[in-house]
Amino acid sequence: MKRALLILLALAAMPAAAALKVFATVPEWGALAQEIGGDQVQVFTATTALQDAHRIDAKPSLIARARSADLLLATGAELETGWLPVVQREAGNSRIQSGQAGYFEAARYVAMLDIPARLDRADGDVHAGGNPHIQPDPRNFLKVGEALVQRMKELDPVNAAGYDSRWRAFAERWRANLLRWEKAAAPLKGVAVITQHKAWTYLFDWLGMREVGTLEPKPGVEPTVAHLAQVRQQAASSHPRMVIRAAYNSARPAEWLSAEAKLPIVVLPFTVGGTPEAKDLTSLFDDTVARLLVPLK
Amino acid sequence: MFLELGAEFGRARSFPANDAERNKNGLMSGSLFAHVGDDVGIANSWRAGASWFASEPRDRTYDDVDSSNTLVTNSFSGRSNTTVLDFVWKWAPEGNATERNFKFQGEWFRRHESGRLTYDIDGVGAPGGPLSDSFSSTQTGFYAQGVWQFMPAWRVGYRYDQLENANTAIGLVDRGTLAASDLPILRGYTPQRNTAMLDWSPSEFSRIRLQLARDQTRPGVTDDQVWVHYIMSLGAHGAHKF
Repeated sequence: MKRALLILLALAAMPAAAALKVFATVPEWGALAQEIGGDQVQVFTATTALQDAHRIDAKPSLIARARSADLLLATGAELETGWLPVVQREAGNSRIQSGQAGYFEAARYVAMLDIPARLDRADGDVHAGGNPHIQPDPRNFLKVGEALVQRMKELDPVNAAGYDSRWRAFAERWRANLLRWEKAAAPLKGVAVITQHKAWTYLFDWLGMREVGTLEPKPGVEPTVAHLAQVRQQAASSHPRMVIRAAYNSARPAEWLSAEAKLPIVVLPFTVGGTPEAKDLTSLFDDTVARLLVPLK
Repeated sequence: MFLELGAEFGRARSFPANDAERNKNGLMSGSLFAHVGDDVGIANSWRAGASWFASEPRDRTYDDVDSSNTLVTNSFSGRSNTTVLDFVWKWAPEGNATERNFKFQGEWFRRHESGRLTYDIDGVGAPGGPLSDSFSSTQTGFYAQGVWQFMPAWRVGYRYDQLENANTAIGLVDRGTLAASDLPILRGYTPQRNTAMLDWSPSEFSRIRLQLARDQTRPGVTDDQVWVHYIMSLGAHGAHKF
């Protein structure tokens, strides 16, 4: 039967309350909106640091939250392509559709890395816009935040002064933190590492580290026994100092390589909430740098 | 809390709504539906729904073999309403479905039809049709299935389908015009099917599945089926519906 007519009653489409309602797809942008918005925003974060942002379902609870959102805060660059389009469509909320002021993509405001020379399914889960995991480089938060504060002021002009002053204070603290983290992480320059997923390109670009192998044979493809054996062989000549995985990754592939190649495992929070220490944006990078330095001691 | 209410209207070109005369666009069948859903903690999410589909089939035909072993075409005209309840429950540790997850899904159906049944519209059967009288039927059925991803890329699943014996009042038989054996498809039985599967997905874009089924949907016959599917997707990555 073909649908001739479809009527959806969006009961939650009530007039916006005093606070700007922000729907963040991942914890890092939720945390950034909270830093800028303070008590003038109400932030809902759709996923946690222990979930794989590529593989989320358009759950009823997410659709319900998106219905009342004033601002949808996404990474973009196809990171959420597996679920966000369905949430946007089902939400029946015109404010957060792509192209509207209430739809913000962080990846538009940073210099993208790993942009593929060719797009082929045979290369795994590659994204045309480049590697979407932009948040491990703290410098990107200044670029994204600069654009985000403008957008929040545009959507909620009444509270513009508050957004501006909180952003200026955050950016100042952030610049000081950057100097502190870069100084602490100086010994990591040139260090070779193996990672589980190609999720750390921006981190390595920031700290000058070198990725000499990944446990996934192709981005988004689960590690196989044959590929792990190959990585094990390469490790003998490339001399990595550690194997890095994100908190949400399965522990087993990294544990196998760690035991075989006598490499320490470093579990990084990846985003806010990934480790008990990573409670907000500042402690996220405090913890990331601290954990990376452990194997060098 | 997610709440969705809706109504749909459509044409009447396929079962159970068939209306051969009105082969056009228009409001010839309709449904009402409601869905509710939410999360339970970080690991669980669910959705439940109810829907009601109403139509007025006219001259909806089906083929049967009457008591003289002649292939005859019968038809039904009247009202057909179907009530559906559906439920989905998903679980994944920490809400991270990449490694392990479980999905339970089930639907229950109740169809009620009343109107007139015409035996042998072409007049080829032994008693000599067409013969027409009142008809009503109420039938329920359901399926329930569980799919368990026990490690990345590997899933096992089990599904059970069943239709209950229909509760019928067939005027042609009750008034002695025809024998029950002239309308064998309408005689009661309980079709059922058990299906088990194991599949492996080397990537988001391909899947190989082994499926074993014991199909008892025809009276007195048991089909044991073995399927090997290769499923692949081309083009853009489709988004995951719930």
